[in-house]
Amino acid sequence: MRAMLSLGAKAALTLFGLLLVTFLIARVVPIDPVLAVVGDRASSETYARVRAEMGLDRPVAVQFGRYVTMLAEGDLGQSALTRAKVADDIARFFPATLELATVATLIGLVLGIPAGVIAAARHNRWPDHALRLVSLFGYSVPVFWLGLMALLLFYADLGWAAGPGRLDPWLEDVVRPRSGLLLVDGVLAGNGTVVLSALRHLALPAAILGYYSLAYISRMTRSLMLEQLNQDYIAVARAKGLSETRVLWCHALGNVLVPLATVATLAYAQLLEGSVLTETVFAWPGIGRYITGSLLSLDMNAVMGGTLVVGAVFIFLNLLVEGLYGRLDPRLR
Amino acid sequence: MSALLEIEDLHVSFGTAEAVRGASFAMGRERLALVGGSGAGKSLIGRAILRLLPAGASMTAARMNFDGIDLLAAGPREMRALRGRRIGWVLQDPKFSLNPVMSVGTQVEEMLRLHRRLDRRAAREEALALLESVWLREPARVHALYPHELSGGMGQRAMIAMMLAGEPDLLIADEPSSALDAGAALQVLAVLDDLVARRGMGLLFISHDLTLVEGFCDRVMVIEAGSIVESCDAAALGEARHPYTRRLLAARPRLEAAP
Amino acid sequence: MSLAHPDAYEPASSLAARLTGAAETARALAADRSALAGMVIVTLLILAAAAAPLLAPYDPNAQDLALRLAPPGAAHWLGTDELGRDVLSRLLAGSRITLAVVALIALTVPAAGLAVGCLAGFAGGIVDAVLMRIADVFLAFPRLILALALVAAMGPGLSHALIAIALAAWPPYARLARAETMAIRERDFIAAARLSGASPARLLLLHIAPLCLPSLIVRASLDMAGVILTAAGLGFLGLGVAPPQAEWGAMIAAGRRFMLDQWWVAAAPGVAIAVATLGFNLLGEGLRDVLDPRQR
Repeated sequence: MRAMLSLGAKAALTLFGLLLVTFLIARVVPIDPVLAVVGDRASSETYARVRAEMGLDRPVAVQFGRYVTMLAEGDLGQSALTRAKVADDIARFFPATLELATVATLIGLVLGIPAGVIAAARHNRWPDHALRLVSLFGYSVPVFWLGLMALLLFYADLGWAAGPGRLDPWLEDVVRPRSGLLLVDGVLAGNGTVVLSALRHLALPAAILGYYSLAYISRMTRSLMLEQLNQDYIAVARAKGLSETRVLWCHALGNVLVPLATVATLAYAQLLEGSVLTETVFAWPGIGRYITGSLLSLDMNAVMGGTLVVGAVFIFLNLLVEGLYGRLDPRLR
Repeated sequence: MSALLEIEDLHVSFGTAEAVRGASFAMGRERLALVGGSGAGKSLIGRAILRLLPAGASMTAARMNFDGIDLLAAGPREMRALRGRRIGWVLQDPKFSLNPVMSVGTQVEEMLRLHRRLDRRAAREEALALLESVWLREPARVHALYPHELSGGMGQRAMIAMMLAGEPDLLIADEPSSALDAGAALQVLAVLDDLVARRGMGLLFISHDLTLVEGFCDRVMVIEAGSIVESCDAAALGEARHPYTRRLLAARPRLEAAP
Repeated sequence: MSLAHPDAYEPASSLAARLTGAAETARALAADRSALAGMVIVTLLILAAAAAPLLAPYDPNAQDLALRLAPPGAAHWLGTDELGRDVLSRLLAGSRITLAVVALIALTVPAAGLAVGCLAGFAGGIVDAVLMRIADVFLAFPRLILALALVAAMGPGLSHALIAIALAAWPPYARLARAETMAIRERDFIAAARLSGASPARLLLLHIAPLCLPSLIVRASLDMAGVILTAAGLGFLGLGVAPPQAEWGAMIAAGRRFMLDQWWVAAAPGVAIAVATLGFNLLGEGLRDVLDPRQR
């Protein structure tokens, strides 16, 4: 219980810090936010009125308080570009990022965990070296560049991958957006064409991101497994006459599942962060693209709103790792 | 007594460093103790028999037979058939030698389903019976517990139950009571005594405690720096001639007043 | 962590001891082939950056519109970009920027983290709590997003990108230094030094901080790979150096428009980034294996 409270306190504190930082950053902006709204041909009365409306004539602390209150109500301000509420825009775009990150992390887990197990079992032999090579490249090659090259090869040259966006243009808005996740919505609506089209469009970006996930997850799995394989209980398991397969995949891997949950969550968080770059390359309408687009048009509310949301999710995921998973291990209960 | 285990000229090395130098002995269905200080190589002999040496270790031997089976020529599948089923192994600390994330009962049943081919229900019943046979008073409760939830003595007895599930002919016990307090140690030894006698098993008892094995085992081998320097009946230990053995004997705490 | 052999010689002074330690480290490092490869790559990068003006066959900003988007050939080994500028020369110029970023970050951030961490670990109590909470806030912030937000607010430019990266990068060093400090300050030789009258500042500077260095160095070299990628990412988004300066990430963004037919404009800088990052990764892993195997 105490641990939960202290974790909650830590979460609150970090979130507060996040708000403070974003608020301060937003104030550093050299652009006048009032001008962005009223335009530079407005009269001085309009300027003063809007300025008062936006609360910019109040002291900083009051402004911060107002900021926090607005956020508590879910109000992230208005986008200077689209004139829509930033919160609505983000709600529209975030599921796309989530969907991509989820599929990519799944790829990373499904391929990465077995790869790590095998690399550990064949320590210092060729599967281990091969994995090291694969993951080294995953740590070295910039994701946006690999994405570009992949598009060049698989879309432009070979025509295997689908074009930009999440769906073929004529399939947009065909199914009701209940969750925002096309795969889910498509299945719920029973529309196989949409699901297929969504999968085709997901394939390349998810594969690229999945590669990076795989590099990280397999590396961590390998380290964790190597630690286990040196333990006494593994020797004892072998002494019981169990097959090496069972010793590896049941006994050793079983001891590594909880740390792996941590790894998976961190991998997911990393993908959310990297979405900013990948979505630009693949023209994926997610929150990353929203932030960068808003950045280029100097739509500060949108940028800050997006930063806040991604930052908050990131913080949440990290705290989840710290708090929840420690309790799943029977040894730590 | 026909030889259950025959070892001739066993060498175990880590690179160029030799940890076991030319160990030779034979044993039948008796209790043979292997006594020496830490680092003497005694655990490695146990592991060598099972062909479960740690990474970086290599072994050679002129002969290594178990019940007529050539352990040196045996392939992985033959060794697996022997391990657990014909040869059992008990280590020092159940917190490290049992799988921490599996319940005790599951680990015992694993042996039963593998070696005795019991189905799930029969395995559970037999597991409970086994736990009871090692004097664990609430077998059903222990069955559901995890290794770290057991006391040292209970964990060791669970470990013994697990390793005897396959009904082996030889049990290699590597310091089974060394990590326990006196009371728990006595209990574990009593359990071993009982089960080994009832099943007519051979017992290779590895220990650093000469006093302990003197009363518990039939024969004693003393190992120093990788070489077996003494081998005699437990009763005849007093007449042992090797200086190292004499030193071990002299180091025993004595209750009677010095002459 | 000590590399001393049991029958090593007795060093004449602490300087001699440190130099011997460094030599041992270098030798162990060179024995590891991949670490050696990393060292070679990093050295080549440094040399290329240093000698870029001499090595570049053309002026990186010299435009030749007649020869725009020329494929790799004898005259231009890596082809030309959309304004007819030699890609190879621009790559070399870009290496200066990459190296400048790496050097500036590597020299300032670990030092700042070391200072904060040592202070927190040594002082304990309120100071520790406050400093670590601040570190936690920045640690919990996704690095790239923080950099984005900062650059968005302050405007593009290399210095702003550097500040952004630095702000996001310092917490792990503080954490590491704090952990090490807390372990070291309990040791006997610290008590002995304190008894002989050493002031806390002297203790920190001369005794504790140097011992934290190895793990920080390991972390730094592995981190530099990430810094290069983040800087390139920012450049790709147009938030790094202003054009017409050559920066690898920005070159990829510019080449994106011509990717279909003139792929070399975008391909070359990507390979450069990958190789540079790989070098730091290999070097970092090698250093970790030699200096701090616990961290793997």
